[in-house]
Amino acid sequence: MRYLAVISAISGVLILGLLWWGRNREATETPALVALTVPATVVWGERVTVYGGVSLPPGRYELGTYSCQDGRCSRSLWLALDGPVERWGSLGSVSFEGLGGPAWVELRAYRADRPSGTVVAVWSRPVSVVEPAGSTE
Amino acid sequence: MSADRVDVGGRAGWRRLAAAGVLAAGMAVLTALYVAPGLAEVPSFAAAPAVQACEPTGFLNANGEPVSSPELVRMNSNSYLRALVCDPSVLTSAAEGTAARGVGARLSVYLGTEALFDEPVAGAVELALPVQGPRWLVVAFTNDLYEPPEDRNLVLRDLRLVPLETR
Repeated sequence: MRYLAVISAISGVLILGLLWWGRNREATETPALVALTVPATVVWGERVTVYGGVSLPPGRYELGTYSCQDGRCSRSLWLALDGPVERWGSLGSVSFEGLGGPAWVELRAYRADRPSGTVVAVWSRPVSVVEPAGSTE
Repeated sequence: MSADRVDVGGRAGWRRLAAAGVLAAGMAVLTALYVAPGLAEVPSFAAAPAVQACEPTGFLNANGEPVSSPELVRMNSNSYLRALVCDPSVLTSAAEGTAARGVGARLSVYLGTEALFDEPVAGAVELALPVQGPRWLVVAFTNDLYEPPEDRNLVLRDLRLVPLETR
């Protein structure tokens, strides 16, 4: 019986090791950004379209583009894609409604074929929100 | 007799320990499957995959078709062009933009995710931007607005990628 306990423990460790190895192996195949036009400065109230190319490994993915300011984010894109694929085109748009606090743009990729909808890749860039020319605000 | 009892009790203890081991392994598997992935740090998008045997594409429109007349590209709504840059080159163009709500037409030129030029254009601008491949170049008009009589539009004249050695 002592051997059974030892074998059970070793099996558990092996299974865990295999799972982590599998996760790390999969993690090397993350979505890639081929190009992306996210501006560093946006006039508040202005809507700016984001264009680019995204390369996705095998699997079903969802892409989201978010405009974030003062800790709140609004999404402008929800795009489902089946990899492997390289997708070019509009990746949504960004806009900011006031000068406010720190602002940034995020692009997130989710695995849509997993129950938990895990976020597998994130890209973000800070954005300066400026007043329109001639604004008195 | 008492030694046998102890022995029997020991076996039962090992059985319980074995069962606990199996249960613990099962719990660990479930944890690894459902909990751990959510706790792991989310990676950034990977860098663009390496371009194998780089062949310049020239400028392609949003449908992936070659731009027929790079001498005059009218962008009356948001749109983009792209080109695969292989050799060191210079992107040249004369851009003209019109303004609405006091903001010019935003001309965005990116090499991969690196901004080479990203500014509103109200009037005329001459571009001469050095680019180096192999990477994708994107030229886009990104903030279209039509509020009569104002209309933001962008025109690109003589859009060219000139290899450095031929300049």
